[in-house]
Amino acid sequence: MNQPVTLRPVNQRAAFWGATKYEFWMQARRPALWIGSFVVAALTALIILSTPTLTHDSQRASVMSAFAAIASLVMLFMPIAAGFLMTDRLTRDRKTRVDELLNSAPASSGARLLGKYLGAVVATVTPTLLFYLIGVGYLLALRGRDFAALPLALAPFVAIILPGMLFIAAFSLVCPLVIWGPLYQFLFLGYWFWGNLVYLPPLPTLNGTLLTADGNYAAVGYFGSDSGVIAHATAAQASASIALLLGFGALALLAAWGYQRWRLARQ
Amino acid sequence: MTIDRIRYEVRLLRVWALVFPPLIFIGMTLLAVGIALFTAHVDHHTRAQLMTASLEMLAPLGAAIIVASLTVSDPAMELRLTLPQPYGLTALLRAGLVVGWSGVVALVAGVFIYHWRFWRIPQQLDFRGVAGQFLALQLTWLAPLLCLSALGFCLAALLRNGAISGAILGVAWLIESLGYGYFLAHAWLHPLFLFPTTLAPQITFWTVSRLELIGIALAFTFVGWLLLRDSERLIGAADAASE
Amino acid sequence: MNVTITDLHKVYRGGVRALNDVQLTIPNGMFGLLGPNGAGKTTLMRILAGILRPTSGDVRVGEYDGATGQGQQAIKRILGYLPQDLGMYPDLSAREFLDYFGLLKGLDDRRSRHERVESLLAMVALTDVASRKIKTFSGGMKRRVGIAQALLNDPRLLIVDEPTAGLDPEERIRFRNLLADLGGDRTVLLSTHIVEDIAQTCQRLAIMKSGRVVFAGATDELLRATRGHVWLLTTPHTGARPQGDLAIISTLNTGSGAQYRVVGEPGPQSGAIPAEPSLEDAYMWFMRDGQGDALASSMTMSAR
Repeated sequence: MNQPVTLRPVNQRAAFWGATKYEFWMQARRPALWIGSFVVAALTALIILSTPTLTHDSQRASVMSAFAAIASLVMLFMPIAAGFLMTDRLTRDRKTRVDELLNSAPASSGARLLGKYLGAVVATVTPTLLFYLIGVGYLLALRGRDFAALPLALAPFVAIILPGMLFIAAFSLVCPLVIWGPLYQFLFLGYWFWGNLVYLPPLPTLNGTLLTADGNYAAVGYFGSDSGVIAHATAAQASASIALLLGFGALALLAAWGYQRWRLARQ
Repeated sequence: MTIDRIRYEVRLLRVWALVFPPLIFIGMTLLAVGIALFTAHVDHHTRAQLMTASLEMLAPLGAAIIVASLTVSDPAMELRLTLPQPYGLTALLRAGLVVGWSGVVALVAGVFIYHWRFWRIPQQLDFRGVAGQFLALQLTWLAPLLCLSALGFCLAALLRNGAISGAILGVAWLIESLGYGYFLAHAWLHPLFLFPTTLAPQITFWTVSRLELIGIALAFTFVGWLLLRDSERLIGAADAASE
Repeated sequence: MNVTITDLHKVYRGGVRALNDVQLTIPNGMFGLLGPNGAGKTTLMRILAGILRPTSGDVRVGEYDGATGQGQQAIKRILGYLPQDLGMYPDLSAREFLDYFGLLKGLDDRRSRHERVESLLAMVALTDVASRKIKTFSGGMKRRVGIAQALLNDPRLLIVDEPTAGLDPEERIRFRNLLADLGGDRTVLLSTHIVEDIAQTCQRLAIMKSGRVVFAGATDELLRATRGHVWLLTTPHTGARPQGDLAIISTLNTGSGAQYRVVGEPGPQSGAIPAEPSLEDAYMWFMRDGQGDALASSMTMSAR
């Protein structure tokens, strides 16, 4: 008990991975994540199954194109659940009064923020992945039970779903620091509707631009799927779109980090 | 219910909740003006659709999200539950204040929107006198406001989580906005069609659907109130919220 | 006014048994409730306060039956409650917070409500800061606002859960004296880990463990049962803990060694000096494995 404690500099990488791991579990254990994602997934499935979309998609020549179509359908509404469920992850530290404890720890705020983001987003996206896989499985069943193609489904998930989710998660994590949560949720819904789901020329919109977060550039550019808004896209454009989404997400996190440091310095 | 009580409940509403509804109309007005000034070929019809949408689609959505976030969120929940007055009544009062304020703002905004002829007139109201038409037109925002807010109230009482209730509300709103053709095509979905004035003012069941939505709102409110009577569920939500 | 609890069980979803056949009578005056974390104290108090429903059993508060909806409503009208985790509205001032809760407790007449609020603010010595927002208050000041709100409706049953946790010694003593003054003509149930608070204010107490009441009776009884089991032991150097069937209550580093206050049976060569037991000693003696049950059965039998 009386052994002297040897103080070593904090391993920030270990702190980052520790934060990632525990933030993952804290988010994954929330019943709200699973209940909410299930309800949104069920509503999405209801809409899709009431149209001939899936049957049409199952008849595509390329299985990757079919997977991409499924990924695009998943991206209709699942980002709403993901975005809403990320809004309280940072503000929660203040509400539960754990921020003082965290700020007194030697682990850097950057490592903690990044770990929180990564852990929470991986947990939040997990139900979406499961929903996507169920959709893929159903599609493959329609295509004559060609389940050997299942591992190929990972690529459309990574290219179409993940960048948009990472982008949304970053802003949903960060914006409630400065604006009221419900106001952010309203604005986010408006952004998703206007910037990703509708296209009403000549009204200006982000839909159809490289900043579209629904992954349609990747769906068309990499996998030859067809998006009603994006007629043609190259792989370079798809890559640019992904890079922009990830870049803006990273900028949001950087801004949050700066804001937190500024707040701490003011105290 | 005393004026002092209402005064405190208004105090406890966040400033954002009071600023939010007028911000919606100001935002949409600026958007409409911006589009008119900087975008070619945007006709009056489109601008009218935008402004009608602010009344019928956006204001109700904003109010519903606020109601969902406030319904089971009270910092003094444990104390509240020991009081003689049931928490459900307090939650209803707060929801009523949010809906009432949104309604006042919509009414005032509607006067300007109607005056400047940016209000899409449903075919069923096309032949009435000005006073009668304006009065009946208030159902444009009143029905979806009551229905969406009541849904938010009910979802929050059921799920005890404002964020996920808001997400489900949002998805329902998106489905109504994007898939309105489906609602038109199936008669059994007519009572659930929230936004006909903006999206399909030519429908012949406009008035009936507004009244049906108000009936649905009452049903959601009743279910939400029943769910809020269970203090054990609420204290569980309060304990979970502090995690 | 008596509070009578009979055959009370509470099982949460998932099968967690928080209360297991609780039998307890709480008479008028100050009554202490002791027990380790997870003993069921908060569950019991939330049931009394009408927040939770018992799985089975009977709760009577005076003439009101806590098992019925009507009874619960009646109890809430005579109840004052101060929870452990006191949530407040940070943007209201202390005066506004009390006024608001006065409204919620049915004090509709503005003038009398304001008078009541001012008298309570004076009682808890917050008059000078009554117009400041609660978010600027220290922990002790918030607790005082909490006790003031609990007294708004002049309750006949006052339940306070960990009222002095986190308070400085002066605040704690002030709080204790305040509670003791209140215990005269009402039932005050005080749940706390700070044994000294109960020792100073309560003549009767109950000890809970694992969802059961393992002792209920006078504090004197508990102290008498512990006499002869509390010792002072001195060791020549620190780190050499006393051996034997002992629980160490406190350690004092004397420079030349260490003095231990222990509960239990020290060895014959230990040089232990008997000490007069405090309530803390009695609690530790009581809660040692097996000891509590034996003592409980002997004391409750003698109480009958």
